[in-house]
Parts: sequence; structure tokens; C-alpha cells
Amino acid sequence: MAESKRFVVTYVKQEVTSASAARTIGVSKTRFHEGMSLLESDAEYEAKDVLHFEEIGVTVATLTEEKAEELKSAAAVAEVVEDFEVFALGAEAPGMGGGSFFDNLGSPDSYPQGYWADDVGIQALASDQDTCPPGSRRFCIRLAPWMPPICFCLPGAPSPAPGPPVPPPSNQPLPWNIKMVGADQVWNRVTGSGVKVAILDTGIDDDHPDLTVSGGVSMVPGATSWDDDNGHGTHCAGIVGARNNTTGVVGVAPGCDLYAVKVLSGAGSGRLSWILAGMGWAEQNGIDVASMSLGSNVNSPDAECTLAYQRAAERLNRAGCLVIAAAGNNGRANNPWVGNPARCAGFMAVAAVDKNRDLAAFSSQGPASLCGNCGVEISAPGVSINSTVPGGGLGVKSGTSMACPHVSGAAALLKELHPTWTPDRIRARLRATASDLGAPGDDPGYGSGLLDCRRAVFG
Amino acid sequence: MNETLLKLWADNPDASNDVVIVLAHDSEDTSPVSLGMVGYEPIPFQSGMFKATMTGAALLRLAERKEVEDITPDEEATIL
Repeated sequence: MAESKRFVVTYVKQEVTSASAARTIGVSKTRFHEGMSLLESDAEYEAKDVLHFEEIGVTVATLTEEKAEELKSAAAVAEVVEDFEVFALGAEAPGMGGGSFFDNLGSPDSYPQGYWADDVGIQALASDQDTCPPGSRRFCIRLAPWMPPICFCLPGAPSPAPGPPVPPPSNQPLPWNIKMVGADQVWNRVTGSGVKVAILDTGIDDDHPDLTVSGGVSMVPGATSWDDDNGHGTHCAGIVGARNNTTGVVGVAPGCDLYAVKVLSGAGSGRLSWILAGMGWAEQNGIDVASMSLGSNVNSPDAECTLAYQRAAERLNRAGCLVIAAAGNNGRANNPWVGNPARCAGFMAVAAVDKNRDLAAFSSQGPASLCGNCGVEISAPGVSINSTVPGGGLGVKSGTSMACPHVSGAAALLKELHPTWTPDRIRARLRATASDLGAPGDDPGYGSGLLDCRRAVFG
Repeated sequence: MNETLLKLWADNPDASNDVVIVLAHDSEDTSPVSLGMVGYEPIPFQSGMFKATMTGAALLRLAERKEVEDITPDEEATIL
């Protein structure tokens, strides 16, 4: 019987499915194991097992020498080499000996010379982390000392260790509200770069020196531009993403891409149909976070959500967009309940707190227990907030409208760090990392508590 | 469908109402014309949703159609 050995088969194509590889090398697909998963699990594998690396087009399998020779002339195969004896090279990575293969890889900086993973036949190499998207880690492997490294990005990276805060330029004092939510403490890692945040409001002043607007639309009849003829939308936009420059203020996510979706008139009001159209535009244009500092009151704690809002939000959620809404300013009234659309499923309702972290008297409340999903979920600063206003200046406003964009900015920060996370996962992360306020745990006023960007990003 | 609204329309069958109509999920290909609607407008970027101005009586008839999931006033929202 011909002698069998372990061979490394490299395919012409870089991405090869296990089914295709099984057909090429003539081994049952049932013996195939996804290489990275098996290595990561630390599971034992036998000689008959085939390790297949789909993303890099490589299979490691036990083959007869005749079969290996045959494969060398196969059109789909670039190279067949005998597996080599594994030996240690350079410094062993810290922490080796326990945990999974990838856990043991640690930081790329921790193994600058590379090392061989025992009995695997793969060399992990130091690599340039910055070439991978946020939320993923770059790994390079070399299947043989003479082969060039093959690099790829793996999702689900552990949260990076927090670095020192990066203060904004000295000419720009840090607003108390930005400091309170810890946004400045994550700008050394994320700023919302590449994340599309839509402000569904009265528009945004495109000429403001502290704002960069990437685009927009007007759904208000008679208003042909998304320019802000009220001031409210510009103020909210500044809280989300005023630039980190030397003028004005700085927002929670100063690197995000702002979009102006004008759904409210210069009088500060708009019809449901205009708002629905704006939400649909956000869905069609790949918006990641929709910030909606608008709404209407309800007359009872168990009032029904307006179904059209819920339908539109669910579509946005399915498209990957988190929808965040102001809880309402009816806290002082006899009907202090979270209003529409914040009370609808698919919306994350935000309450307002002041500089002392006390709930603003005007902030509408849940509780969710009375109406299913209509309660406050999280709190953010919303009293005496200084932000951008039309004309290039700054102004102070109060309302749950001002609290909402803080959370929208934080969602943008998380989206940059974890681009594959769903809206629900970002929402859950923001809630789970909030600093508890009021009664322990969730409560009708504060929800999960005060937004904490530092904990949300760094854990 | 909101019972308060149904009563309002029944009590005021000739009054005009600005509404948003939401079709059922499995009826998004339904033509508003086939539902007897006139003067309707689709809501941009929202399939299965229409705005219209209709009398209370017409809305009551529409509310009975299985293709219609909800009818709600084209209500006003404001800055908060």
C-alpha cells in the first residue's frame, strides 16, 4: 500500500469552498473541518481529518504520494507540498500553553519575530493591525518557511485596552455633556469615522464651520432644501458630530458622516407621512444610525404605538440601522408617558438628565411594564446643552431632543468599532454599559442609566 | 384598528380626514385603487403605505378590508 503523508494543497483561487476542495482532492467532504475553527477550538484531530482554510484557498490533508503527484497537475491546484516538521522560531508568544490558538496569539506586538504553533504547521506573524476594519483583527500565517505570508481579517476581536484620553485642541473647551458621557475617552480609538448618521429633524445648517454634512433630503412640502430654517436640527447635529477642530464645540462622534433628513418645517413640526418618508430615505441610503429628536404625546401609559412608525423602524432595523428617539418632554404633565414614536418597538427611547445626573423634570417616563416595549431605555444629558446653531454660532437648548443625539453619537462610535454588529446588539451594548441611575436596575425614568461611551467601547 | 378612531369616523361620516394607511405585510402589492381609494399618494420610500384624505364613511369601509392593517391620522409630531 502506498505511503500516506500530510500534504499542503494550495489552490489557484484564493477562496475555495470545502465542497469544491473535496471534489478536487478526492476526499469525502465529511472529513473536512474548517481550519480556523478547529484550531481555535483546540480540538484534537486525526490524520484522516482534512483542515480546510476556505478564505485563503488552502487544504491540509493526508494523501498518498501518488495522489499528491496527481494533484500537482490539476488545473485548480497551484501547489502541493509535503507538510513540514514544525519547530519553534524566535520568541514564544506570552501566555502560550493555555487557551485557544487565537487567544494565545495575543497582540501582534507581542510576537514581533513570529512563532510556530506546535503541531499545526502554521506560523503566526506580526502584522499591521490598521489594515483591517475596526472590530476585526488581522492575522498572517505562513504555511511553510519558504512561502509568502497570507493575511486575512477575522471578525469578533476582543475589546481593545483603553488608552489615554485624547483631549481636543486647546482652543476648544470640552463641553460638560460630552465629558459626562465619556466620549472624549474613546477618541483615541474611534470617532464614528465612516458611520452614516441621519438627523431626522428641521434640517442642518450646511454652512456652519463646526459641521460637515455629507448629504440630505427634504420631505417637507415646499421646502426644496434640507437647510435648517428652525435651528433645532443643527443643534442636534452638533451634539452628534460637531468636528474636533479649533472652533465651536465637539460632538460625541466627531468623525461620523452627518446626513440632514428634513422632516420638520421651520415651525418645528411635521406630519407623520413626512417622517415616514424620511425614515424610508434613510433605509434606502444605507444610514447606520437614525437620530429622531421629535415626537408627540400620548394620553395613557398603555397607549398604542403608531403602527406605521413601528413598521418603518423595523425596516430600518432589518437594513442595519439603529433608530434612536427622544422619549418626550411631558414629564411634568398628568400624562408623563413616553410618546410616539419613542414608545414603538424598533426605537430606542432616550431620557434627559441634567449636569448633576438628575432626571430632568420634563423628561417623559415609562414604565415598560405597563406597555410592553414603550419605556425609557437609557439616559443622556439634555439640560442646558451648548451646541451648534444656524449662522455659525452656538446656543443652549434643553429637552430630550438634546439627550437623543448623545446616544446616536455613541451608537456611531460602536458601529465604527464593530461594523458587523446589528442594531439590536449595539442597542443592548449601550444599555448594558450604562451607569445605573435612580432605582437599582432599569427604572421608568432613567431606563438602564446614563450613557457611558468609555464602557461601551472598551468594556 | 383604534376603536376611538372608528367611533369618530362613524359619528362623522362626511367629515374629511388626513390619514396614513398601512397595508398588511402580505398585501404590499395590493393596488390602492383596488381598495376603492381615490386621491391617495404613496409615501416616498415606504412600500405599502399611503396618505390620503378620505371621509369617515370611506375610512370605515377601508378599515374592514383584510388587506389594510392600520389607518392612523397623519398626525403632527414636533421637536422635543
